[in-house]
Amino acid sequence: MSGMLDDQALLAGARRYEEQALAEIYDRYNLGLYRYCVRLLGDPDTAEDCVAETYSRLLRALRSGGGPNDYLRAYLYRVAHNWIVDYRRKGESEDRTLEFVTTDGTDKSPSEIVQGEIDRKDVRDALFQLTPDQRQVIVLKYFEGLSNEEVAAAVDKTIGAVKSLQNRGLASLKRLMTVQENTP
Amino acid sequence: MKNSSPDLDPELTAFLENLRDVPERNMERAARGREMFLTEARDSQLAVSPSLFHRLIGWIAISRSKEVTVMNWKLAPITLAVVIAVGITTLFGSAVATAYASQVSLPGEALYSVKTGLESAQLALSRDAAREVRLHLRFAQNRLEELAELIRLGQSDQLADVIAEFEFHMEAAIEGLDDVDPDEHEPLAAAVMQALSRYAQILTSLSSSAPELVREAIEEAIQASETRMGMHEVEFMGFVIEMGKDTWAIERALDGELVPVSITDETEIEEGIVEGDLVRVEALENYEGALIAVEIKFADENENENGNENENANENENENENGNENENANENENENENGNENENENASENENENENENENGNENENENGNENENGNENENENENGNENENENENENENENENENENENENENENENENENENENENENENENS
Repeated sequence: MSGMLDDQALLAGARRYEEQALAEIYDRYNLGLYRYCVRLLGDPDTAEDCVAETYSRLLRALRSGGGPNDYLRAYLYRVAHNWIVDYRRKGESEDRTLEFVTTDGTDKSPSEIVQGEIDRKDVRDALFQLTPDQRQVIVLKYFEGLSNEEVAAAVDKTIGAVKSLQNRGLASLKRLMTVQENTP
Repeated sequence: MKNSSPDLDPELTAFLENLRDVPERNMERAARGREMFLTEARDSQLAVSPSLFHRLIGWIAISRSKEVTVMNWKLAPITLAVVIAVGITTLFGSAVATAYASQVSLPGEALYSVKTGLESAQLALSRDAAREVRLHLRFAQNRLEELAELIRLGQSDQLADVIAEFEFHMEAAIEGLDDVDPDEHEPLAAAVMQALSRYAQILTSLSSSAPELVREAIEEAIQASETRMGMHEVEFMGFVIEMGKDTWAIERALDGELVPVSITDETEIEEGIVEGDLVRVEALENYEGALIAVEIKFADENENENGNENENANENENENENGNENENANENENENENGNENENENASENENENENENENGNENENENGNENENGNENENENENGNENENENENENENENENENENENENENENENENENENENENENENENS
């Protein structure tokens, strides 16, 4: 929520193609977006592609007179999420996870590293069995720390609907987790 | 849950926490991404282009005033604009094309997406601007053929999409000319012209056989397109209040009304205009009263081009200032002078005045001399005028010599004024006519 007015000022500057405003928009949110993307994609390179494409889409939206009016961060996460969903739909995901592994902690044994990656993949797989809105609500609230208002803007729902999505999503996740544990 | 659900199931928390840590980011890659974004933003700014419609009216406006070089190719743009206008108009009003009712796959048919997909692929694979222009021309013709066939079959629900696609390809072909290598530019531009002309002929020749089913829609479209082209030129002077990227606000001098004026890439804007300047606006007004600027320039500068007009601004100022001074001086001097000193003093007075006049002289001369002078003159004159007047008055009262001086000054000034006034009158007449 904080910085919302600033975001409006930044967006006004961005619509005038002021480089300072555009750079600030990038600097302020690119790292959070990267973390979001890499969590859901599992691969740093693909996550960087997603970040780049997200900002590119923002530019195109601004150029055609569209783009967000206030919740800039929520808008960026929504665009990134759409990209990720498209990407996974094409079946290209999860094929470069070794890079993730090798950039992980250094003091773990190879088996620990591999097990960690398997665990992360399990969570991702479970998250992608939720509805897109449930998935966004849980990830944005749990990992990215967005406010209820921002999450609501990201999924274009009311705050009440966001809470409902969260409850149903967590219940589904719990069920999926149990199924995974019982699957050999 | 860490952020909002403290009572989250511990097992679920542990499950989700697997995703908490992320690998350290490659900062070089991050910096590259940032640079790409800012580069794309700069390119986006440059790439914002006016619609075909705006370009059209820009060409029409240009063609009214001068011989034209449109997009570096020498053609009478009025011809081009008319051809395009005819193309669009007759397209909207186009009708059956039995000659073109060949075996084409049509929107809504299974093969149609294959056809357009192949077209897109050809464009995407093309690395050559000239080839892209030719491809767009060919695809525009494809749409034309589909349009004719749709009309023949009475399938009017797909017409709008096909028309939009035709316009898209025509616009892309025309815009693509900007990127074509100079050597190929002229022949390709001619090819575009020929294509436009040919399309217009096809459409015109077919329009008479339009089926009743679509005739009404066609007539509406013709009317809409004609109205769209129904622009007329207006010209006015006013003060620049705000200079937006796409729109300027001008306070019209005639009535003080704040008038929004659209700015296009074709708008010629004099360099150096800032908010508050008095400008002359030439614009095209459409049927809704919206104004699209063709040219915006300093009000003074119009005069420069005419040769007489610099002088207007200068003259007004000169005359007012000189006039006041002269009159004051004359009165004082005449009374004082009554007699004695006229001859003697003339010499001495002249000299004294020469100094005063030097100041005046500089200003007057500059002004007369055609006017480097606009900015300088205004300031100089005001200041000098005040000073001269004060000095003259003092001198007149105190000394006889002053009287002579005043007389001399008056003469000089009068000469200047006469000249100025002549110019003003000439100019005014020119403007009025």
